[in-house]
Amino acid sequence: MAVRQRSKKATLQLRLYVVGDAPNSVRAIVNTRAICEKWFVGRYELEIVDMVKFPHRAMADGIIVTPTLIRLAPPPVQRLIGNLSDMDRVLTALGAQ
Amino acid sequence: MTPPHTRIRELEAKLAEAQDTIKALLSDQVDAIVDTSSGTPLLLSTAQSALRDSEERYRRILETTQEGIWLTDANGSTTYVNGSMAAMLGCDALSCVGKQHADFLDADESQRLTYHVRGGSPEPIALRFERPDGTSVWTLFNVVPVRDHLGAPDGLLAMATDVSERRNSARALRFEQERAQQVLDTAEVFLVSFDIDGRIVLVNRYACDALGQSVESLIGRSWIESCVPERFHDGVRARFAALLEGDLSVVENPIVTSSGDERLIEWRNTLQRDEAGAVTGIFSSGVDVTDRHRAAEDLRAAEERIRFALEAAGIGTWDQDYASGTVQWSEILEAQYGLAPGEFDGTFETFAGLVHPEDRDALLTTMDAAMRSGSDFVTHHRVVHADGSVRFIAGAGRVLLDDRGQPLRAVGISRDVTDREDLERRYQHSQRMEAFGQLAGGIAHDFNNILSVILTCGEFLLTDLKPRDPARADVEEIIKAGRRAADLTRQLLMFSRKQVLAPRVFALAAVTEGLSGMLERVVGEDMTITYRHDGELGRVRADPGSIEQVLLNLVVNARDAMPTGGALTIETRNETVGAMPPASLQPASLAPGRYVVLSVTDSGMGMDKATQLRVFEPFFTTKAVGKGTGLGLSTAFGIVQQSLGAIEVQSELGAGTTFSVYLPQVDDAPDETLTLRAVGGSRGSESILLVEDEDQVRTIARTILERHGYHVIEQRSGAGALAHCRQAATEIDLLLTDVVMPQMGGPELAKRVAEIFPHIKVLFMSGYTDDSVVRHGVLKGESDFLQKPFTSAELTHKVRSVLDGEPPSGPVRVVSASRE
Repeated sequence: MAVRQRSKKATLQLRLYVVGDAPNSVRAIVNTRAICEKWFVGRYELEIVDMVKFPHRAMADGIIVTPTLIRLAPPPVQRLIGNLSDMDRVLTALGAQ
Repeated sequence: MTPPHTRIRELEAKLAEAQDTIKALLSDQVDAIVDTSSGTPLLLSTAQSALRDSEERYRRILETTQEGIWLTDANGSTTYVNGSMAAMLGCDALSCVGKQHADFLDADESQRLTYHVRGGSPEPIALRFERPDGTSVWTLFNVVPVRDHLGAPDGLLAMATDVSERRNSARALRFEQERAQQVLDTAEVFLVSFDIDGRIVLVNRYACDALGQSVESLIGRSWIESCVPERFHDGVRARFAALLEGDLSVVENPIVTSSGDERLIEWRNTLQRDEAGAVTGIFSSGVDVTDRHRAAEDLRAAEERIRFALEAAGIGTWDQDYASGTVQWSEILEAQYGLAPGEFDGTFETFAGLVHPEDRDALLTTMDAAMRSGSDFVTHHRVVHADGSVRFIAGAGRVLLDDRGQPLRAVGISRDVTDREDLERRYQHSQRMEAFGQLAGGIAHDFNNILSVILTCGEFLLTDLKPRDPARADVEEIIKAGRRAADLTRQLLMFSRKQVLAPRVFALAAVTEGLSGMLERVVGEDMTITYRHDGELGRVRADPGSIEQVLLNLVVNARDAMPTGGALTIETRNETVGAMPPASLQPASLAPGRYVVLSVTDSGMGMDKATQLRVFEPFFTTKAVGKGTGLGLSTAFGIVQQSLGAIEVQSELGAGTTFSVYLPQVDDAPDETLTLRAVGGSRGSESILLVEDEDQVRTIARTILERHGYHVIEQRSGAGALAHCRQAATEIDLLLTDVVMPQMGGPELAKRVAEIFPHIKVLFMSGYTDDSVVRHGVLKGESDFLQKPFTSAELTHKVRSVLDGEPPSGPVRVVSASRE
């Protein structure tokens, strides 16, 4: 199931691939949400894709490991692997810094 | 074709990514690897599987529990919610991850939670979460801090219980209660619910209004303490206890209102039980029966009044139920039929058996007819008591029919009217006697005048005839016959009570002694007379001559009842009479008091009851024709009645008869001793004014008087007499006048003559007078009176005595023992 977070001006488009409620997946979700709410509130779109339910989507995006966060917009497309606990790295990848 | 620098950059990125991936893998940041080699993506878990399995175990536990589990990290971000929690929140579990508690609470609730968490209370708080679809969920939220392996705070564990339903049912329950209260409040009876301690749980508006208290002041209070009058507390408490034991009988218990009124309430109760069957309380509905009670009391009082009234009036009541055939009698009715209270067995047969045989058929016919027509009926019949006495019963009844026209019930009243019957009989008897009397009196009056002529002419003849004249015998016969006839008419007059009597106070013994000689002669030799006299005999007020006549007539009657001789007893005694026994056959009624009794008893043939009833009727005789006139006893009856006494007869066939004369005893001093007037000189020379409208009588009277030397002025009428008086030169000594004359009667004349001649003496004469003035005057001893027919001796003697100024007296007694 895809859950979209609606925002007024969707400048940041994110897609997070997780595996059910596996610990890293959970962490990744938590962290992603936290960062979005803190730095991009009202300006982001977050889609969470559960690989257990939608394994084929992994192939479409060429996902190898989960959790993987993909920044779809603004370009360039960025990929982040892991539970995204390293805040700085995430922020850099997302273009907050 | 991609330019080479772009391609290099891509490769660099890919390399960086690969490095990242490896780093992530190594640092255990990766959950799974996607294996696409086979074409179908496969998720390969990493080396954390062992841990994963144990985690899995815990996860399963968390997922199966009904409680909601909510894990948040040190920043308050949700790391995990179990299925139950997610369901409560109305979200997918995954979408909850990363959110705060506050994301699901409104401002107030959020504040409460923060406060609660900060306070560190281990107690759960009631918390309302908002769901995305707008609905709410009520929870009991229990929050505890989580610590890491070092003991540092590492977030919160919350356990939530969904109490929405409970809350809703609580609300639903309250709603139901309110609705129930509404229903209770529309009822117009007491509706109260009690717990087992007798406290009020529910009470409706009607009860509150009746008690004069508000709902608030009643709920929770003890019913007995608050609403029952103090003196009934123990009793009501006992009833309550019995109720809880299961005794659900309808009870009547009093209440007291706030204003102090006491009302009586009739309660119907049910027990309230819980699901286990234990009694939790009592539900009661009550109806105010105070008025019903008062009405019942009033009815009882009214019934008692009716009963008293019936008793006082001696009215018995009966009630017959046709269905069961039984009859109910009141005690008064039982007494009327000679039964003791409760003795009546309720059967129609018993009733019919008590009715006098002669009246039974008529009575049953009447009742039958009434039964068929359903109408009212009256009865009049005799009943025979066990002791043989007979009573007259008068009654009325009513028959009630059902709608098919069959008798359903009959009710009636009954009165003992024996006394009235008695009275009626006596009245009829006396009416008859009265009629006889008038007839007899009328005849006698006419006869008297005729007889006067016969007698006095006869006497004249005798005086004119020479002593040895053969015609003398015939004339003597004429006179004898005339005298006999005169006697008869006098007796008739006596019977008709028109006889004027001159009562005196005397002792009865004087009569019996004075007459004893004559009585011996009358009865003859075959009979013995025994006298029994009470020594201290009381005195009576009566006309002695008449009493002598009575005694004589009774003795004659007794004699005739013993044709072959026998014993005759004459008795005098004092007697006190109580209330008249109703069984007496005697028509005479005697007031209670002291009496002197003169009785004559014979040992003759006696009389049956029928004869006894008629024995005093004039001309009634059991003797053969020609032997007696049947007037003796009637005469006696008349005299005794006029003397304010009564005469009784007791007789038994074959044994004998007793006649008893009751005369009221008086305590006055006796009048002068009786003396028989001597028959002797009667001459005079005074002037007499003779007034009589009957020529023959007047002529004879004048002749008699003139022969005796009187100077007689005769006048035919009062007017003439008065005229003469006014013109008279000399004084007149005596006014001898008839009483009954046309235009002016004797007394009137006497009054007016007295105006002219104040010293004139007056002598009235009459054959038949009902002139109450004269009778009254004579009875009071004021005027002199001469009864027609009179012999010349009677006339002259009377005239002489009046002129001589002797006190007025009745007719000169000439007692004759005429053949009866």
